Order: sequence, then structure tokens, then C-alpha cells
Amino acid sequence: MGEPPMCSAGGPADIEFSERVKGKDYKCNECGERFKGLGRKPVCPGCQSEDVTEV
Amino acid sequence: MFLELDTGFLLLRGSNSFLLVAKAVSGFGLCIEAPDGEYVQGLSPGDLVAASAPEGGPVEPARMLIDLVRTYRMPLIVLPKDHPGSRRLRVVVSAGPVIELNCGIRRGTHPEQHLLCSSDELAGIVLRGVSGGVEVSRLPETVTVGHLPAA
Repeated sequence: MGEPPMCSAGGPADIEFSERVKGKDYKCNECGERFKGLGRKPVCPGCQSEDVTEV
Repeated sequence: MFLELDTGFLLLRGSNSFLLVAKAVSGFGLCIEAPDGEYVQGLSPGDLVAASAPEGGPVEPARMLIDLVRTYRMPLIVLPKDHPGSRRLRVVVSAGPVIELNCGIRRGTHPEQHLLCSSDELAGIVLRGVSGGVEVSRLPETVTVGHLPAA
């Protein structure tokens, strides 16, 4: 990316991200739900358990 | 700069825009519904939930959006690139331990939670959730800081 992007109220300029979101695949050890997690502390979206395993 | 924040809200106001910041009061999995699938952002107590209003306007909708996320755990919807609804969004939300304001992104279309669309006057501000408050860097001198109580 060169020049900083400019803004306008009606139609903000866009930038392309060089990296897309890279979630990791997890399985919940409580309810078995599989999900793609982001962040330091993955939490099951189904039962909110932190007892999950990367798969 | 350290700014104190408990369960209430921190209001960073520019001349034509504002940013409302709060902290997650409990840990949970925030669902992010993106065009390519669902992601789950693990939030911890003390992580930030911020609502940006690039054109300003009333603060109450921003407070409602933050509470929908942090209290009622409402999922975030990410629009596809070039979706016409992007220009209808007056308030956008982001959540995570660190949030950076950026005026060069199309609002509502990016799932990356460390970036939040803002006006150019607030762009560049970086917020980091820390014990007892928020560490704010690159805060312009023209931006005023206020606090609002929890609802």
C-alpha cells in the first residue's frame, strides 16, 4: 500500500487486505460443535465452553 | 494515554464523528457472519467493544449496538464487498483486545475485528483494553474525551 487512503462521507475508499481472515478450525469438547475460531481464546458458539480442541 | 473505564462507556468525539467504547463484561464467543462463512471471535472480560459513527449523529444507537453485542451477544454481520447496504450503515461495531480506527475501509464489509471504519479525523487511533481502562494511542488533540454511565 502506498499513499494513505482518502475518506469521503458518501463513499469511503476501499483498501484490499493482503491477508484474509485466517480462522482456525476447532471442535468443542462439551457439545461437539465445530467452528472456525479467531482470537486468543476460542469459545464454542453453541455452548460457550472454552474446552475446545484445534482440529 | 490511559483512560479509565469500567462498565460504562468512553466517548471520543471529533467535530463531525464519534467513537463509543465499552468493555466486555464477560467472556463469550462472538459470532461473525461473513460472506465466506461463520467465524467465532473469543472475547475475554476487559476486551473492547467499540461503535464508530463516521458521520456523527446521536450516541444512543451506538450505545444500543454495543449492548446488543456485549450483553445480548448478537452476531455481527459482514457485508460482501461492494454491497449497496454498506453506504446505509451509520454506526459500525468491532470487538477485540485491540482496535485500530481506519478511514480507508468500506464499512461493514470486513470481518477483521482489529480494524474499525472511522472518519478521517479519528483514523489512526489505537485502543487497547487494559486493567481498569483503555490505553489509547495516536489520539488527536482535537478529539474530546467523555464518559457515559452503563445503561
